[in-house]
Amino acid sequence: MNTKIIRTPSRAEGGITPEEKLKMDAIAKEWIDIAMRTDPIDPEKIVPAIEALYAAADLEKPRVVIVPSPMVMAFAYGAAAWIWHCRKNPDAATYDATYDATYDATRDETYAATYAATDAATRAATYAATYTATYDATVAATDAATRAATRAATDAATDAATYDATYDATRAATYDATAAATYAATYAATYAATYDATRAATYDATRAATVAATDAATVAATRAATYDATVAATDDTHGSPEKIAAKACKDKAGDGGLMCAKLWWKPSQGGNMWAAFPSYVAAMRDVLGLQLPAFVKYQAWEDSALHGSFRIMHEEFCMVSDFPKQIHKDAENRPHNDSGPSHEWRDGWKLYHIHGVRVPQLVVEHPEHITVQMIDEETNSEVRRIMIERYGQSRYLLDAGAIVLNRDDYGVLLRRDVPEDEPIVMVRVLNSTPEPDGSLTTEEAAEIFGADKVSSQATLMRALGYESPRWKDYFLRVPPEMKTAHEAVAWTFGVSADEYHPDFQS
Amino acid sequence: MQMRQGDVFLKSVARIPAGAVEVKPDNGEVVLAYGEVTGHKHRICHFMDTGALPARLFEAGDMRFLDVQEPTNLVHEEHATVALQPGVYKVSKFGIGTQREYSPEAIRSVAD
Repeated sequence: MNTKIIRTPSRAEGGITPEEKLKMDAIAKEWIDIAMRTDPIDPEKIVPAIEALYAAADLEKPRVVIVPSPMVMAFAYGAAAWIWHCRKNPDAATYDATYDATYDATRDETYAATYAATDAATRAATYAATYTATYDATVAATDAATRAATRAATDAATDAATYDATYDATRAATYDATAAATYAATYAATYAATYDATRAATYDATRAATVAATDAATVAATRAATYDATVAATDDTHGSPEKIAAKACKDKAGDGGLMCAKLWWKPSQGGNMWAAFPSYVAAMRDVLGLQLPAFVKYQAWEDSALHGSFRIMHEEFCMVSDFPKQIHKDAENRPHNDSGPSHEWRDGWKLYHIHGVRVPQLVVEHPEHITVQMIDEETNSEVRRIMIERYGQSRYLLDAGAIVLNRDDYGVLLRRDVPEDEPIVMVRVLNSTPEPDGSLTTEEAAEIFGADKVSSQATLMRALGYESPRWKDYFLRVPPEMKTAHEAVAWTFGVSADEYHPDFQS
Repeated sequence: MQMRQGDVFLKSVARIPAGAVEVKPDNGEVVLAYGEVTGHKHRICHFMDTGALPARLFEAGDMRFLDVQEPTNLVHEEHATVALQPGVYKVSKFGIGTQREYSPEAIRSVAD
């Protein structure tokens, strides 16, 4: 290594020294803690930070609105964005007013064409309402400018080493469990709720078209039985937090609001959950000693990441989410909690993850309510595997009607096909020794494993003083290609059936 | 000769590999395996009268071997006792041959 270490306020070259690496590790740790923070947001800190962020991009001072969770942020943003859009574009406001009327007046044959045209117009208008100019301007003024400036001020080796020590380290430790999980969940919340709301709208529309063609008295009766019941099932205040937020959004701003809510991600920034970049810049500035002009405006970006979570950048307002109340992850930094929510925000919005896979609340908190039907109806194979594991693989095999592939002296080989996944094949074996806490009577054991096998064992046990022994069985999952119980048991010890012939088993 | 006691599988082999190191007895017993959950042990006890041990356990890499010098018994809280005759056995509880279970993601080892 002949590369000379250069450190000036405008230039850093020659890689990083071991001492610098240690300081960078500390910075990465600091930003990992910031990404994972769970204390409440402080308005006195985040409001000035956001105002400075807008000022850095030469934008007008926004209304800064603090919201309790990213989910509420998405729907509140949707309603607010649509209301602002309608105020500034009076034509758009007529969309909601004419929406139902249009469908009321539309006959079946023109339905499709009108729907498509209305849909297209709404999309175009909604897209404009969620434009990302504010997002782009703030990023360009702070984040992107700083990135370019630090790259220009360092050589590749120094930049790469600093990047590894801070950006990569911070991102690896936090991203999956913070930004990615939150983003995915918020996306799912708005997508699902919007889908529900759209269904309601098409349902309403269909109903309206039927009204015109049928007797009013019949309609009144049908309405009570269908529409009211549907509304009660989907929109009441006992629904999920997502549905409640979606209802609030629709009540405030109609379908335009929901369309904007669905696009919340476009103008959103990750705040503290995008911790990797601030960690990298802090190392460039505080360890390598760079004092670049870009860092002046960048300060607002760093402060916004330090003091707030996910945020939405709108020209009129900035919505900033509070930090979660709790976050849990596994050793591989994936969102995970075996016994409760992986994430919970202070408004009660909770997410559940098992080793990075998002699962319904019931799977974690009430696995005893999982049923074979729920498992078989689950379309996500990762979620289904977790449900089967929580239900108990062997119990699922028995309850779901497994077929017996083979029964021999070594046990019983069972298979249950799983939709769109490999079959579960398990060998059920009898513990050769009867036990006081065994679950099977001799008769039951004989039924499962064959009378011969159990009776010879029972005779031996009676000789040893067990009058009415109880038996314990257990299940071992084996590769799906196993053909016999003998082959399966041999596989569990890593040998072939030919090599496995115990002279005595207990 | 092959014997199985729960998840411990013993198979006669010709000899203990060169370089194998003796595993020290635990509290006067030769313990082949500890149950991870129950704390139960697959073990060989010393003779009541002399206190001498009838067998010695050896480790070679990730494999274990049992050298039985006098007829003895392998005992466990939940399984019938297995009688062992003098000879050398490979213990399938460690490394290759450990009882395992299939999983779509990874293969897990079994411990009773």
